[in-house]
Order: sequence, then structure tokens, then C-alpha cells
Amino acid sequence: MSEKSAARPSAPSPPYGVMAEFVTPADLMRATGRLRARGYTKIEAYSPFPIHGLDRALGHGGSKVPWIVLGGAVLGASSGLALQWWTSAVSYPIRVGGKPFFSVPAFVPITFELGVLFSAFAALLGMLALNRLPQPYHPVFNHSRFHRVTDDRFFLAVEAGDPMFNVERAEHDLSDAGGLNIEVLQA
Amino acid sequence: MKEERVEDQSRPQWRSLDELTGSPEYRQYAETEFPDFFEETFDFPPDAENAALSRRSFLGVMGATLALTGLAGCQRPLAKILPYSKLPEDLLPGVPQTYATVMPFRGMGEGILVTSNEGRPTKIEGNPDHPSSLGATHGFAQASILELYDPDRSQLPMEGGAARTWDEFNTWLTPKLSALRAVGGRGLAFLSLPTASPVLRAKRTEILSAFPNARWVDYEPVNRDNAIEGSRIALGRPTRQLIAFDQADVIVSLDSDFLFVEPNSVRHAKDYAHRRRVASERDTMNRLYMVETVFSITGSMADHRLRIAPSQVGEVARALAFSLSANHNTYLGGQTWAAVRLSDPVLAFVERMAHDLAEHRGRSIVIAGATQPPEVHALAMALNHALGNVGPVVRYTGEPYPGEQRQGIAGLAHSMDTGEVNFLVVLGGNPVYNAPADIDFTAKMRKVPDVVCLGLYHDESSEKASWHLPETHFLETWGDGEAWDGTRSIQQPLIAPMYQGKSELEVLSLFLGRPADAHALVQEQYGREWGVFSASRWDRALNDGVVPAGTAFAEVVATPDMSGTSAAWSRRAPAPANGLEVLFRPDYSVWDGRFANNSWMQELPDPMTKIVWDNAALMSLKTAKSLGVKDGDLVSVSVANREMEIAACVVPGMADGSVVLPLGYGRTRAGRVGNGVGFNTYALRTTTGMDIAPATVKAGAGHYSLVRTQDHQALEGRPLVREGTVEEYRKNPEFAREMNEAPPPISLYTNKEYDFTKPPQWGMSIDLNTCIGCNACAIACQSENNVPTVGKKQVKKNREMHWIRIDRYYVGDVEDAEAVHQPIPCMQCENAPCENVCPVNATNHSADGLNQMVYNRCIGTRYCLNNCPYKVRRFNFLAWRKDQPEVIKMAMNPDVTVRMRGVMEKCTYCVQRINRKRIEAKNAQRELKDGEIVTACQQACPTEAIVFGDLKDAESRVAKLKAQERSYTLLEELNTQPRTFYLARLRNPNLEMEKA
Amino acid sequence: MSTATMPPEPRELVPDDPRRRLTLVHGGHSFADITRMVCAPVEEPAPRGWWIGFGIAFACLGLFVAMVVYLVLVGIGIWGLNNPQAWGFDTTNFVWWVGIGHAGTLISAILYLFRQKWRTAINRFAEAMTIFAVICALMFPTIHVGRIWMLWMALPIPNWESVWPQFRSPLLWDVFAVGTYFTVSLIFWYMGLIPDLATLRDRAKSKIRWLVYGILAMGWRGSARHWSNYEKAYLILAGISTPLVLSVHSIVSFDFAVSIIPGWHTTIFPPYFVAGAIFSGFAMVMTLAIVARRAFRLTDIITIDHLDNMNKIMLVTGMMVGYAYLMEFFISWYSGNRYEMFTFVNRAFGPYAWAYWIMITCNVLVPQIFWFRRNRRSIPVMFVASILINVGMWFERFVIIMSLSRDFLPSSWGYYKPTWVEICTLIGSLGLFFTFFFLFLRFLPMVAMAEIKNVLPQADAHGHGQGGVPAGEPA
Repeated sequence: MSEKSAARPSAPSPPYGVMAEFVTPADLMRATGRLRARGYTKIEAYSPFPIHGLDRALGHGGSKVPWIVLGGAVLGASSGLALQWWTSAVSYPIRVGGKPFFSVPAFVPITFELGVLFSAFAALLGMLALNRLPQPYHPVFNHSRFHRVTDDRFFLAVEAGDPMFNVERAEHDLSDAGGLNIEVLQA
Repeated sequence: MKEERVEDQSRPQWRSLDELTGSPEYRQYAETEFPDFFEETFDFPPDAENAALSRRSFLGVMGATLALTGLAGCQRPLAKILPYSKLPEDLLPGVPQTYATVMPFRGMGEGILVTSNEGRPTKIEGNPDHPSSLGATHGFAQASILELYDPDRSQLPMEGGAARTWDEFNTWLTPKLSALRAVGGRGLAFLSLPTASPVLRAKRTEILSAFPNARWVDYEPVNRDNAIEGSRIALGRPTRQLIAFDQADVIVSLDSDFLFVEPNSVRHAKDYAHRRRVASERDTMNRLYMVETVFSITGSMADHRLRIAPSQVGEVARALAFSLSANHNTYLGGQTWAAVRLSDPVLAFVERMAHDLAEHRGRSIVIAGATQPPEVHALAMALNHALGNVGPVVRYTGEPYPGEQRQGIAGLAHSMDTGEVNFLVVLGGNPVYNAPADIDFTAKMRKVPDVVCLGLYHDESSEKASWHLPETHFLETWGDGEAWDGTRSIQQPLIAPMYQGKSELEVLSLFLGRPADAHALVQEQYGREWGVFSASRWDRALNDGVVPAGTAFAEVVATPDMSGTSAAWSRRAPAPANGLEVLFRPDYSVWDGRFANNSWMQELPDPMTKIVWDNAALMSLKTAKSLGVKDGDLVSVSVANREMEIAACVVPGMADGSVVLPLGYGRTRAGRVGNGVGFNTYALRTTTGMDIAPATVKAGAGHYSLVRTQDHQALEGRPLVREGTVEEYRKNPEFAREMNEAPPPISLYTNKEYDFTKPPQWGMSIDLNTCIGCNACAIACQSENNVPTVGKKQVKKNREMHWIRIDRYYVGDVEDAEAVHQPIPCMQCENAPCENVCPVNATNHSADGLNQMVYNRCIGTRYCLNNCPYKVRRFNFLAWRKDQPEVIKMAMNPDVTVRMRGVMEKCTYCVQRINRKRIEAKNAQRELKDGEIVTACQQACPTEAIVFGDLKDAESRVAKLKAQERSYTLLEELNTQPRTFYLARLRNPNLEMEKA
Repeated sequence: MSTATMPPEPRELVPDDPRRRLTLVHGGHSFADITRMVCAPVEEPAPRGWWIGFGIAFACLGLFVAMVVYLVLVGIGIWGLNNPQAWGFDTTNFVWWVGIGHAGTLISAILYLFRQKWRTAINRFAEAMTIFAVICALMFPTIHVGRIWMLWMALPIPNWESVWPQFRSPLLWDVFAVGTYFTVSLIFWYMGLIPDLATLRDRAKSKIRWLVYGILAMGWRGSARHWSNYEKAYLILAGISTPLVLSVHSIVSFDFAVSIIPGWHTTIFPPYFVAGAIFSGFAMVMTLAIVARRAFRLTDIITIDHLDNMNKIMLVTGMMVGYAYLMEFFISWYSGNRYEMFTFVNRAFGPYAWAYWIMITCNVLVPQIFWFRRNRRSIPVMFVASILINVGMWFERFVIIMSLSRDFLPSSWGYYKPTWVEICTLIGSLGLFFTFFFLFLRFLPMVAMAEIKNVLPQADAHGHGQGGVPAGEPA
């Protein structure tokens, strides 16, 4: 809320982009298609829930999260096994139950669990990192109706970084594509 | 019924077990199969003790007396103890000293060695040089260390409950004495315990010469009057029997619990076991016939056991005499012994007994129990004579006691009644509690103007006396004592009197008007005996614990007077027609009541019933059913119109129609541990029925909670205790090992970086063939390892802490059950299941194969306890020692950590002893010798059933035992690789009997 | 929309049956309706019922704290434990709570992977339940040592003794397994919450709410890029949580299976425990869902079809544990091991037979009523059944642990009786659980809005009137 009020006074700074609102996911899809057809490359869509095919329509690549998680899993499992091996067989070997110091079968459970634990952290942190979260401020929040993006509205923004960006054209194209409440987003 | 039993006999127990377990009837009467789930749910607080029986609550209130006892407890009396058996410069802090002394008990001196740490005696062991001990002890000796530090011991002289000083007593006494001297001591009477101390006896004669008209009476509730009277009948004079059980091939015991209750029992057990030890199938074993009423531990060792009412035991003896003289041409002085009317099975039993005896002339022994009337003892002596056993097996010596205690106390009571006694001195005894009920000693005492009571505790008698004098504990004072065979030992103190106590010797010297301290008195006496006092001889006596140069009694040659004996038999009172009989016997834990305030003994399970903190009316299942009572129900027993309520306890294998009443409980002034524990059976014990009495018993109202350390009595057919007969053993020496149920599984783990091959590798052998279940090991362990007691309520919750327990299983059918004992210490498994599950490495293995507990590492998950298949681990559920008074801490072994609440503990194979010896050997740069390290349990064991040592040393005793065919480990199929192993039990039944 | 008149024949409730999709949410609600319905309990003042429930739960929590303080001060002796039974209520409660804690992650993860879109209605508070149940579970291993200040020794921390934990001990496996399970469930739950937290942030009326939810939402904007990384991460979490769920209860079962005690030392335990865990977990979800959907008027979102499905799962898992019970007997007989045989006969006819038959009744007989559709769709029936099942599952663990009462040496046989302290501690742990749960209902959306919206018909971006691809389907 406060972003909006704070952002109202028109500052000289260059805008972040232009954003329009849509009512249904279908409208959003259609509009996305239109703008891409017009050659826009840096556009981003916002929705209350994931929309199948949207990122392909926007021309985004796949997510890198899986690779991060794989790293986590390997790190976790290996450090788990290393911990047990080092403490039980190197640092302070103790005769227990007539079993060898390095009793592999008995060390499997913890190795596995640590693998899982690290991958879970990797998944969460990976997701946040790739999404640049946490991020308390973002220009898109300046749209007066953007708070409904988490409720029932869908938004499409043409970003200033786009080579063919120009406020008027963007406004025109978005309304053309059926966008409502088109606003210029202050950076 | 008897027929069944006769069939049973050869039956290896693992096969006959299910008869017992399969008997729902037994369960119904004797076991709480389905306890009440919510019984204790709402106790508040849940850790509350049963106040009356509480040890912990007693410790709770200790605060009050702490100041006093605490101060006394802290004193370091080192300097006062002179002379040392080792020189003072030897004294290194932390290195315990050992002194030889002697414990007066059961009218004889038991030779002991006492370990002292910086002046604190902490452990008692048998003296190997002492003929009545040969190094072993019974539990009572072990436990007397706790008695020494009992905070309830009386500490000052008291006049009618008010604290006084000895000077005040003297000022009170002096005028009285001069008055008494004037009349030569008329009206002066002494009542004391029979003593085995020559010094004390001499002092008594002095007293009697100083007060010629005074009278002296000995009285002890558990006494040997019958035996001594029997010897009078048979041999015409008081005579003592020295029986060499190791010389007897056939033993016939007529209700004699010679392995525990009879004096010299430790020696008996040692000799008896000597003939049960079997190394190979070529070895022979003795054969024990037991004729008894109760199921005693001696009975549990019997090869043939006849359970019969106490009054019938004598009839069996008579039948035996008849059979021997009639059928086995044994000359009984031409006396004809009328045939006795007994049931056929009993007669058959007697006949075979006789046959066996006749076949082993000169190699057998007939022994009568202390509770049997004199004529039975006389007859037993006559039979031994006729069988030619006198000499090779049994020898006679003089008997220092007149042994007329029963008449003595009665006579004394009478003259107290008639006012002939106006000054009574009670020395050590507790007549108010344990004198025969019918003489009403309390009332008689009131008629005596002046009563002085010397005692360790301000007990029932002291309470009624005008003066109470604190007595010194035997570890606090000088004296001496005779072994069973008369061998003398000097009793030297291990600690200065902790309180203001004086010994009987010193008190008597007060009465002689020549106060002196015990040390001087003893030396003076020996000076008199040796002609001139020899310091070197004295020091040797102290050092060895035995006075040098044969002090044993001279042997007496006597031929029995057969006619006198048979005359005694003709005078024998006819057995009560029908109706119940009661039999009084000392308790396995508190004896005659003197150990009632000793929590070690109170918490020590009865070897047969496994009851703790209680006594009960023992009866057979049949008897219980006929009375319509179950285990734990209250019954009211009346003898000669005296009545009492007591809990019934169903004991398999007990004689029908008889009720056995253990003595020693129901004390009112024993102290905070013993007060109100159990039932006072002295209330029914009269001059005419000191041992056996006709009684009427009927079901009483209500149920009483008897607490056992073992709730399930049968083996469920599991091959845990393995037993066979000598015959089977000869046919197949491997029989025990063949009972393993599964081959040990193969381990997942092959890549072990260590194995237990480098010597030493500790192991322990327990010979079930010689274990008599006497509990000496359990108390020794408790004392050595600072094992706490927890109180009746906590034992009821299965929280007892004993590190070694003796499992007792009944075998065979319920009526004629046999019993087996199995001591269970930690098995020290090589593949210890407890170690695998501990999350913090608090229990793990040492290189020499010990399963060790790291107390300060234990967080108390109790997982190890769950996973121990032998259930030997013990958990400190509460802070057992929280409120422990200083003075009890003095009894602690400084080498063993005292465990705190929330910590697991268990048997360590006495690791502190192992390490002490190992260090000694290392300092001396020598190898450890086999047998050098002795665990506490092994040390105490009278039968040497426990052997500890290095399994890797082929020459060690334990390795040789391990090699025996009889050796097996518990639950071998679990592949725990226990270090503790067992030698299968063998019975030696009479084949004649088998055939019948 | 005419979605209310769907024919919900059980056999037709196939995931990809179009009509099935329509029936996921009743009443033809719009996106905004969903938001409003789900946010209402969080934004409107709490109903009186909430205050009463919370009050009771909080009182029980107080009882729990009191019992723990008593225990720490005096020691384990205030419980009924003894030798041979060194474990009793403590471990029973631990395993019971861990078991309950399994439905959450299972519903979220496994059903998610199997595209069971009906999960969206219940996964959120199933996960919440998981986390709270696991917290309760963790309480018991913590307090059951009495001297809780010693616990750190069970963690791999370098210390002055330089002695490490013993990694062969199943108890230590528990520390890692349950610890991991708790952490991963928390992550999984929180990740699912992020978009909904953003919703609450954007609807916030007060500065504090805006601030708190804003911080928790971490600036979520719902951009297409956010969603694609989010969904991938969520899918992976679901993927690793599934073996995790199975492993955790397997490892809990190792506490017994790895020991050598007859009745514990059984290879069947891991699958048997997992089935039991799912069983009891669903039962608990059921109990809670029934109350929550009424109290907060979410009957259109958590529909009778959902409950019906869960009843079927309970029927199946109930029969799995029933099979396990039979199998244990067969194997003990087949093993020819006298100790095993005795233990199982003793279970059914020994001192604890009463507990055994309670277990059989509640876990095997009661679920059989769900063969009938009428019962599967009758709220009272399933409510009572779900509670009985949880009672039965508690007794299952109790019966197993009571194997200790009669193991190898008859001389050491004993009988365990709980004290009032143990009973109060169990009640108290329920208080702990419900305190958390009431707070959750009050302050967090109990249904995953974003996911629900995703399965509404109008969520489809491709024109034809059907629901979108299930959340998380690889794009």
C-alpha cells in the first residue's frame, strides 16, 4: 500500500515499465501472445497462481533449481557419511557391540537423511535466490491495483529494458491487447 | 503323590518343566498372572514410599540426627587403632589395609578379613586361614559392615529414655553394687547371648565368683539346645559334632539346613561342594537325601527330597533306624526299633535311604536339624556310630555351652516373677522381643526394680529397661572368639567406637569395679593363658587372624548309650493326630531379627521365596487350598490360644499340613529401617513349642502385598538352567551343549579392526552344580560396588538394584517341585546388544573384553536395558542416595563411583579390583597370576561356584572350566558371545529309586 | 455453474475425469470467493468456539509443562517404568505422534506426485498438523531421559570429552530422521505458504499485519518467473519428501526392529509402521478437517468427496496393518523360535491381551465400515471412526512396546503400570498439539488458495472450460 502512495508523485526518474490488468488467465495468455508477436522481448506476467504455458509464451527458459538441489543432495549425503566415518573410525574409535569402527550398514540411515535435509534447503534457498527473494520493494507494487495479483487479477508488464520500449506505444499495445487500468510504473 | 515324585526323580528338569508352568492352578494361587493395570496409577506422589517400610523415607528424616551421627561419622580414629597388622608406614592414602578379626555370630566366631580405607572399614571377607571360613563368608558377615554405620545405633547411655553419661551411670551403679556385694549378689541376674569368646567366659566366671549368689543365663532365640541335649542323651555329656562333609558319600539330613542355618554353615557348604564338583564323567558325586518340611536351600540341593510334616521327621528317623537294624544288619545296641506307621511311599523312601547308608558305612552321615527334638539328634548320633561314620566323617569335641537356654530363660522369668531378682543385666540380647511368648518377659521385667540393658540399639528391651547402655559393634572393640572347632582368633577393632559404646567385656569390668578397656583385658587374659604375654605371638595372632598353636578343642571319644537313646524315644511325645503344625525357623535375611534394621538384608530376596522386606507363613499349595487362601492373603494362625495374622505365601515343594513361620520380623524398635517390617512370629512361640507346635490356621480378612524380586517361578521349558543326572552325563557329557536351540547366526560384519584374542580376556564361570543359592555373592557385590537399596515399594515396581541376582526356578510338578538356582551377573557379551543401541557411547567395550559403563556419559535413554536379553542392567530411576546420611557414606567403597539419578549401572566384573591388581603387577614388572584377581562375588562364595580369570590363559582355572563339556552360555543362539558361562547342573539320584 | 449436480460415483472419481475436476470445489465460486472464504477465518474476529477450544488446549499445555518440570526435578521414577520395561508411555507417545505426523507430508508429497488434485483442499492443514505432531513427538525422546540437560551429548558436537555420539544406535538415527523430517516438512509447508502469505499481505488492513505477512511473504509478486522456479522447487521437495516420509517411519521402527527382543526384532516393521503411520495420520486429518470445515464454513472447498477419498485410504491402510498383525503371528510360528512364538501368544492372551484386542478392534474392525458408501459419506460415522482409529494406533505402539514385559528370562518378567504423571503428560501433549493448531487456524490460511484457484474451471488459460494443468506438472 505504502509503495503506491509513495510512488504517486511523478518523479523525473525513468519508469520501470508499463503494466496492464487482465481479468482471466485466458485474456492474459492472449495478450502475452499479441505483445510477443509485436516483437516485445522483455515482458513479464503476474498471476495469483501458476498458469501452464505462460512462461513458454513469455519466452522464459527452464528453471535451474534442480541442479542446485542435486548439489545439495550430494553434499549432504557425503558430509553425512564423512561425519560418521571420521568420528567413529578416526577421531575416537570405540569398540561397540563387536562391530567394526566403520560399520557401513549402520551408517546408511543418517547418510540418507542428511542427503534429504541438504537437498530440501537447496530447493528452498535455490528458489529464493533465483527469484531474487526476499525483495521488500519492487516497482510493480506501484500499480494501484496490483494488490489483486494475489487474489483474482492478472497483470502484464512491458519493461523499460525492452529495446523497443516507449511508454506511449506500450500503453497503446497493452490496451490493444485488452488490458485494463494501464499504468506507468515508477522505478 | 509320593509315587509321582519318585517317578519324577530322574527326569531332566527341562522336560518336566511344563507340568509346573502348565498348572493354571498354581498360577491362580501363587502368581499374579493378570495384575491390575491401574493399581498404582493414582498414588500421589508416584514415587512415594510405603512409609512404614520405607528406606528412602527413613533416609529422608535422617536430617534430624545427622548432626550427631555426622560428627561421629567424620572422625578419623586411625591413631587409636593399635597395633596394625601391617606397620603404619605402609599406610598409603588410597591403598586399603586389610585386618583379620572375628565376628561373633550363632555362638561361634566367624573368622573374617576387613578392608579399611583410611580408617574406614568398608568391606568384609572371609579369612582363608580360619577353619570356619576358609576365605568365604555368609551374607550376614558381609552385611555387618552396614550395621556398623547404621545411624540408628544407640549412641549414649539412657535412663528411661533420657540421655545420660557413663559417669552418671557409674554414680547410679556404685551404691547398688556395694549393696549387691554385701549379699553376694543375691537378686543379681545376668542375661546374655551365648558367647564364643574365652576372654568373655573368663570374665563371666570372675563375675560369678565376685557375686556367688548371682545367676547367669544365656539365651538366644535360635539356639542349639536340642542338639546339645541330644548329645547328652546319646553320649552322656554335651558334645559338639565336627562333620567333614567332604568325606561323606551319602548324606541324610533330617530337617537340617546345614548349608545355611546350622553353625559352621560356610565350612559345611565348602566341604559339601567339594564333593559336587565334577571335572569329567569319571568323577563321582556325593548324594544328599533331604527330609524336611520347609523348602530350604539345602533341600534345593538334594538328590532326593522327602517333604513331610516336622513332627514326622522324627518318625522317619525311627523308621530309618528300624530298617537299618532289621534289614541291613546294623547293630543298634541290641535295641529293637518298632516299625513305624508311615505311608508306603515314605517307607519306600526310607528303605532306599537305609540301603544307601548301609552300602556306604564309614562314608556317610546322618544329621538332624536344630529344630528337631533331642531324641532325633541322639538317634542320628547313634546311627552314625552304628554305621561306622564316627571317626572318618564325624568327630566329637567338647561343647563349651551347657545349652540349657530354654529352661534358663523360663527359670529366670519365674524367679523375676517371684521377686527373687531385683537387679537384671541384659547383655546384648533382646528378650522382650524374642523370649518365648508364654513367659511374658515384659511383664516379668516390670517386677524387677533395676534393669540394665546393654545393646547395639535402643531396642524393645532397652525401652523397657531402667538403664540402656550403648554397646560397641564388634568392629569397634577388642575381644576374641572360637571357631566351630575351637580354634581361637583375636577380635581386633577396625575403628574407634563411633559413639559412646562399651563392649560386654568392659561393662562386666565395670560391675567388677575394675573398669578397664577391652584391649588391656584381652591382652591380660592371654597373658594369663600363655603364662607370660608374648608380643610376637600376639602380633602373629592378629596378623593371621588365628591364635597360633592348636587352640582347637580336643577330640572326645564317646560311644552312644543306645538304651538311653531308646528310652528317650519311648518318652517321645506322640505326634499330633491331625491338624496343622507350625515350624519356627530363623529367617534367611534377618536371622532372629538382629539384622532387621539392615537395609541390605531386608532387600535381599529370600533364597527360595524371593520375598523382600517381609516374612510370611509358608505353606504348600494343597494347604493353601484347604485353607481357601491365595498367595498374599492374610491367615490367622493360633498356637496354644495365641493368635496372629500373617500373610500366606505359597511355596511349591513344601510339606502339606504344615506352616513355616520365619522369625525376626515385626520389630517395633529395630530402627527406622526395620520397624514394622513383616510379622512378629515370636508372638506364637512358646516354651513348649519353640520349634514345632500344633496350630489351627484359618483364612483371615484381607490381602497383603508380598513383594518378590522374581514374579515368575517357572522356566517355561526354556533351556536356561540345564540339568541332567550323573548317569546322563556319563552317557553323554555334551548333553548341556546339545540343548542349544539354534546355531549362532553369522555376522554381517567381517571387517572388524579388533578381535578379543590378546590376553588377558576376562571371563567368569558359574557352576550350577555347586551354587546353593545362599545370596552371599549378592551382598558381597552390594558392599563392594556401593549398590543402593530402594525399599519395598520400589522393589514392587521391579526397581531393585542388585548387580548380581540369583534366579530360582521351580522344576517338576507343583506339589513336589525341585528348585534350581542360577546366579546372573552381567554376561559381558563380546557382541553386546546394549552397546549397539546406546546413542552416546556410554557403554562400550574394553580391550580385555569388559562391557563397561561410562556413568558421566550416560544420559539415561534406558535403551540398553531394553535390549539386554539377560536383563542385568539396573537404572537409577530416582536419586536413591539423595538423603543419605554422612555416616552411611562411610561404608562406601572409595574405588567405585556412586551413581546418580538417571544413570544406568550394572556388574563390571569388579573392574576396580582388576585394575588394582593389574597396576600392582605392572609396578612389580611381573605377569598377573591366575586367581590373583578375585571378584567380590567369587570371593564370598562358600562353594567356589564362581570362578573368574583369563580365558586366553590355557592354564587358568576359568579356561579349563570353559573347556569342560558341561559348560554352556545363556541364549547362545543370539550370538552375543557372553563371557560369563555356566556349568550344567547334575543330580545324583539313587538308581534303586529310579527303578521303583 | 451446474457443478453442484455432479454424479460423484466413487468408481468415477478418476483424477483426469473432467467431471471429477468440476467437483473439486462446490458452489461454483470465483477466484475472489475463494480468497474471501479462506482469508475470512484469519481476518474476521475469532468465533467463540475458537476461544473455548484454544482455552482448553492451552490449559492442557500448562499441564504438560507442569509434568515435565516435575519429571526434571524428581526423575524418571515418577513414571511407572521399571526393569524389564524401561520404556512405556514415553516411547508409545513418541511413535504415535510421529505416525500422526506422516499424513501431512504424505498428502502433500505423494498425492501431489500422483496428481491427486483433491489434495489441494486438505494439504495445507495436513502439513500444519504434521509439523505440530512432530513437535509433540520430539518432546518425548527429549523428556524421557529425565535429565534433559544431558541431551546435547546425543548431538555431534565436539566437546570436552571429545567423545562422539554412537552412530550405530537407532535412537541416534531417530535424532537425524525425525529432525530432518521436521525441518523438511517446515520448509515444504512454508514454501506452500508464500503465495498465500502474499495474499494476506495484500489484503492487510492494519500496518502490523501488512508488516508481518509482508516479511513472511518476502516480496512475492507472482511473476511468471517466480512461479516457474517455485513450481520446480515445490515438485522437487515433493519428490524428496516422499522417500523421506517412508524412511522416517522405517527408521522409527528400527528402534524396535534392530533390537534383539522377541516381538521387536522383526523385519516386517518398516512397511508395517509406515502403513500404520499413514493410517493414523489420515485419521487425525479427518478428525480435524471435519471440525474445521464446519467451524469455518469451508464445506464447499473441503467437500464430502475429499472425506470420502480419505476414508478409502483409511480402509486400505487399515487392512494393511491388519495384514501385518496376521503376518507377525505367522512368522513367529514359522520361525520355530520359542521366544518369538511365546511373545505373540502372550500378546493376544497374556497380561496385556486387553490392549491387544482394543488395537485389533479399532484398527482392523472399525475401518471395515468404510466398505459402505453410506458410511464413507456420513460425517458422524467417520468422525467417531477416525477417533477410534487413533486410539487403536496408540495401542498398537503400546502393545509392541509391552513385548518387553516378558522376554527371554522368565525370572525378569515384569508388568508395567503407568502413573498419573504419564497419563497427564499424554493429555498435555495433546494440549501442546491443539494449542499450535488453533493458532494456525487463526493466523494462517488453512487452505492453499493459490492451488485451489489453480484447479477451478476458470483457471484454464486455453479457452475450453476445464481446470488448468495440475500445479507442478513440468512445464
